[in-house]
Amino acid sequence: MIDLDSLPRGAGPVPRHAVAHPALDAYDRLLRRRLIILVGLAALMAASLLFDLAMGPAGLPLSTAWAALTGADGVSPTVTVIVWQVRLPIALMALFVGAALSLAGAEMQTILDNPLASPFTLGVSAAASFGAAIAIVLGIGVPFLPPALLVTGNAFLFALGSVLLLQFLSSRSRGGPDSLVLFGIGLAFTFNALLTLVQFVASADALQQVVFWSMGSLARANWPSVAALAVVVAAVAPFALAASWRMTALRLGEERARSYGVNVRRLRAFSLLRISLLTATAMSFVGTIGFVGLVGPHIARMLIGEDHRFFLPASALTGAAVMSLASVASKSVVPGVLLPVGIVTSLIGLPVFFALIMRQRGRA
Amino acid sequence: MATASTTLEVDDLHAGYRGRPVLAGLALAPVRTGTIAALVGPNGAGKSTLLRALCGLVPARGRVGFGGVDLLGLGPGERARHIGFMPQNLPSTAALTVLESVISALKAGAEPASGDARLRALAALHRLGIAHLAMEQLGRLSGGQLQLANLAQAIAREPPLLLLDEPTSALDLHYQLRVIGAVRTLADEGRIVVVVLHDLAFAARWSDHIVVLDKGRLHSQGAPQKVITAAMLRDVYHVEARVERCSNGRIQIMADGLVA
Repeated sequence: MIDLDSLPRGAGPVPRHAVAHPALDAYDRLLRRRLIILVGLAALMAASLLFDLAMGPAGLPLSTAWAALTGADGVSPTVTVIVWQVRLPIALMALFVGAALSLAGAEMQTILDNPLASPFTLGVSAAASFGAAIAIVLGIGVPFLPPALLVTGNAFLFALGSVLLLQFLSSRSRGGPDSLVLFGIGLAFTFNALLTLVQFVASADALQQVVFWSMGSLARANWPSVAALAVVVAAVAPFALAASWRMTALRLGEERARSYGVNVRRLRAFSLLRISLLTATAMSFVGTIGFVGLVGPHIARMLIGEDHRFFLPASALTGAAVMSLASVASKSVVPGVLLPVGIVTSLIGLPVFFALIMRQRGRA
Repeated sequence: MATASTTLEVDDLHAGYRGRPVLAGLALAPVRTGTIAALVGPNGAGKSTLLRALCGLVPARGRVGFGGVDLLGLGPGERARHIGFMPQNLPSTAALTVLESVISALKAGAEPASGDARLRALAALHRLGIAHLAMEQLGRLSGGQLQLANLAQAIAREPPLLLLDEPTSALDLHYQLRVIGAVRTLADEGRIVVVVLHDLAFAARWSDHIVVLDKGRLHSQGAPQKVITAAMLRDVYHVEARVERCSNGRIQIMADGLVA
């Protein structure tokens, strides 16, 4: 055993096990505990998924839902169709939307150094709603896209565009991350005003569609849209994880991270690209889902801290679990009525949002 | 580690922000290994800008030689191996433990440091006498403890050049002495430390070399006893003061008032 005093400078070749110090053991325990929390979150998510499958107009016992899911014998074809063709796409969509928005929120909070940043609070949802609305009301949209994808395509384009616009504006201004947050709030107001304008000229029919779209609903989910979102999440997540040490260092201050050799400008640009892909894809399929991207990362931070190797996956899992539970709640709060899930997440999210602001004020 | 003959040489250094040049052609006498060089001067004199320019955080041109290397010509990863920087006003809101914050200093960046990061991080904490705080959350530390943790992040990569921006401001007397004592040891081990200090008597007591900056220009530099004079205080700070040299070589400054 070597003690710390005799450790050679730089400590290059000394193996970890040659040194005994309570802090090293405590750190190893901390890492193990975080892995256990991640597994626990995944289990919660899986349990919620099963509940989600069992609930609905035709209530199924959990065992039947499980049997239908695993393709066991003795399940009626009707039940199999309900579970596989109707409920599973919706339930999975809830998971992926939650994971995508929460991962995007976690990255946003880190790169903007602002705990109140999320795709919803920075106007990305408002932009998506506006994009969807002009497709629904005016029929304006991306050329050459099949009509069935007009609304989705437009929402995607506007969400993506709003994040890129945010990045452009902030690169043009001298201010740091704070000005990006202010730009985001400005964008949210602008797109909301434009949305109101479109609603004003809309026919009664179109108006109803616009309002329903902006409430956010998982009912539009189908296998192709679930697959598309799953591919985006799976493609983006490894890049986020690869940046996790740089993001952790960024939490120690921008100048500090730069002095370690982190290219913060590049880190921010690529992170914003990931955020815009995740948010735009998720919102284009389900409409406005508020506050999951805000609440998910905060719960993850409280559970696991800000070592981004754990914080980013934990945010995704928390978001997925929260969204799935919201989906369950949207079916069970009013019996027989399926509430738009966006309303449920906002009703859960707003009190958390207020609590966060109060806590911030208390600290300042 | 720097060899005994390593010097830091700044010549014709221009640095500043977009549309606002701060330093124009700054030249400093060479600073040798084992030296603590204090940067002093009024607010806005360009002290922080000089530190930032040396570690590539603001655009700069000129010549900054360090042991035969031109620091301004290095890439960010290479520079991080030479320089440890401790900025002012560090956030303490990150939900990280002290050990994790130092590990991330080793793992982040273009060239992650070699060796077991946990051991290196713990060794850095141990040298500053805060290994017992390793698993404490940053947000729970006192101001002085936090400053030592910040210093640990800056020295974790064993850089031969340390740039510290007001490391002792806002600390109580005990921690002022602990931090500057640690800095003294780091310099004596064979580093160059450039440190911004506001307290002139403190700077005179602890540094080997003082550089007085005023409005982006060099006012004077040299040994503390030579540089800290009533004339300099009148020139640079516009303050009437008496400077008294004690028998042990230390300096006392008594400010009488502003220059009329």
